[in-house]
Amino acid sequence: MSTKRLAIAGIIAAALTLTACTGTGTPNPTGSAGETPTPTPSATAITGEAPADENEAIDQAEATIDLLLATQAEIGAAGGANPERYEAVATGKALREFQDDATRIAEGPILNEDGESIEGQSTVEGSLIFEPATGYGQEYEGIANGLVIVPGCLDGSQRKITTADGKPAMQNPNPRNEVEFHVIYNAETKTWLVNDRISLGTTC
Amino acid sequence: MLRRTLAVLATALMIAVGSVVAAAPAQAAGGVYCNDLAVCYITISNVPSDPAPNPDSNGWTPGAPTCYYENSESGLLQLGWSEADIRVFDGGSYQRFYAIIDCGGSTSYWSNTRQCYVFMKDGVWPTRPPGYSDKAGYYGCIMFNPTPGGSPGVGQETNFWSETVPPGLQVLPPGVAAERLISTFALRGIDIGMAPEVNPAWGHRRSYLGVPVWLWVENPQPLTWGPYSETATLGGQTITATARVTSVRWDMGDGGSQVCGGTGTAYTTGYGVTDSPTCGYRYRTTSESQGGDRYTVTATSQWVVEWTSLAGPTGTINLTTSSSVPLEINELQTVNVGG
Repeated sequence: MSTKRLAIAGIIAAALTLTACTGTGTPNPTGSAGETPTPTPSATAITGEAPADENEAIDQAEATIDLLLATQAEIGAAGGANPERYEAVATGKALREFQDDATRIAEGPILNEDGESIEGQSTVEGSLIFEPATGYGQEYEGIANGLVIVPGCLDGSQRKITTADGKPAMQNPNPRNEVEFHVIYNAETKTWLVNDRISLGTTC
Repeated sequence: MLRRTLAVLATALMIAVGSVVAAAPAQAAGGVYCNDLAVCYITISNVPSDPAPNPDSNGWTPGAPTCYYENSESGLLQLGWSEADIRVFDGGSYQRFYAIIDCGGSTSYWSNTRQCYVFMKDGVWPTRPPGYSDKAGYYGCIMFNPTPGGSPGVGQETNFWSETVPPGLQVLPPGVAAERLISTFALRGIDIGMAPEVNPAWGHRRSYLGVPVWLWVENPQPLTWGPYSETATLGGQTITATARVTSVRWDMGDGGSQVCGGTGTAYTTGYGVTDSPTCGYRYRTTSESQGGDRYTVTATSQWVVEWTSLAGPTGTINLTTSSSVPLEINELQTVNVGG
């Protein structure tokens, strides 16, 4: 991804976090701050001060990935509506990919199980599941551990898409793949954002 | 809004957001995509990616044959690429624009997936994260805005660990380089020291049931006992490896064995008929039933080779060497002499 695009993504994220709460150093889905812990379907962002150490950064990054996938499940269940919600939890290439995914769900075309190109809105049940294998931080834009790389296994077997003609969408025969999520800390907005998802080309 | 004028012939499958959502191409064909202004580009059937790891004997996977730099249509044009140099992946509801760029070389190769030139990091590496073996490498990834035929501008660098050498690179991670270096060590089994010694008249060693057999390392040398050390630079990694024996397992040929931690004690006649204070054995069965009436005594040396690299990673490799000698074991006969 280009530096230019990162800068643009940063501006977008900065604008978005005007609506986000500032939290503590622990994973803090916006919307639940200060409340009794409950399921947080309305959580939109992971915010907080810059990480104190690598472990805290990894915790925040994993929480951000979980939130991104939860957001994807919600957007998918809503037929791809409101893809701008991704902007609070993703940026850069990841944001573009997840928004493209929402657009495909909302409008098509998506291949059905027969290989036919189907226009129109699909329906989605379930979500991707990410199983982190490890995680490590590095400096990012002057913030120690401001970039966290989280390799792991992304399982797509539980995400079921039905195309507009009522048929199941074509499925990946290898639904479990090794990936590497890159999660950055935006110091300006104090928000964690997934900015890339690298496919490592191997199954898990 | 973009207007699609031609249809793509091939079905485009895209791995999107971790699961294959078949992104059916809305337009098609001819492999051409044209925008509202009738500017047309050649299409590609898949989002560019890197080859899956398929390491050869060196651990290297060939890089992508064609390297693509992604940017917006206007971004690529502004950077200087012409329509002829730009390729488009058309996902139907979205498009992605790419310029074909130089892939680089064996020490720095473009990653279509990461969108950066990947190279092995010089200097001291950070501590290896949990989950990576000592064969993992630490790589840099420089992101920048390339220009047609030009050198890259300064960009942001990120670093990542990888268990496999990224496609296109022909470098050796320290663990692999260490393995290569150590494989060149001409380590060998010990020179076996034993009482009984070889009797020149018989041409072999002979002892008797119940008589102490002494076992030791004769004339320990760097290549038979250690420490043996070498430093070399392989695949860009400067490695120092030091090998030493930590123990010797003596398999006596009759099913019994002894593991001795040191070099043992060399026997001299002054010791008399006593057990070795450090490493010895007594037979309970003659070698009569063995082929040639000999036991084969085998000394297996357990080597530990510790390696360090200039880049920081360290590791240990265990290996063994062995040597053996034949030994005849007889029964002592008592003869009464007298009248």
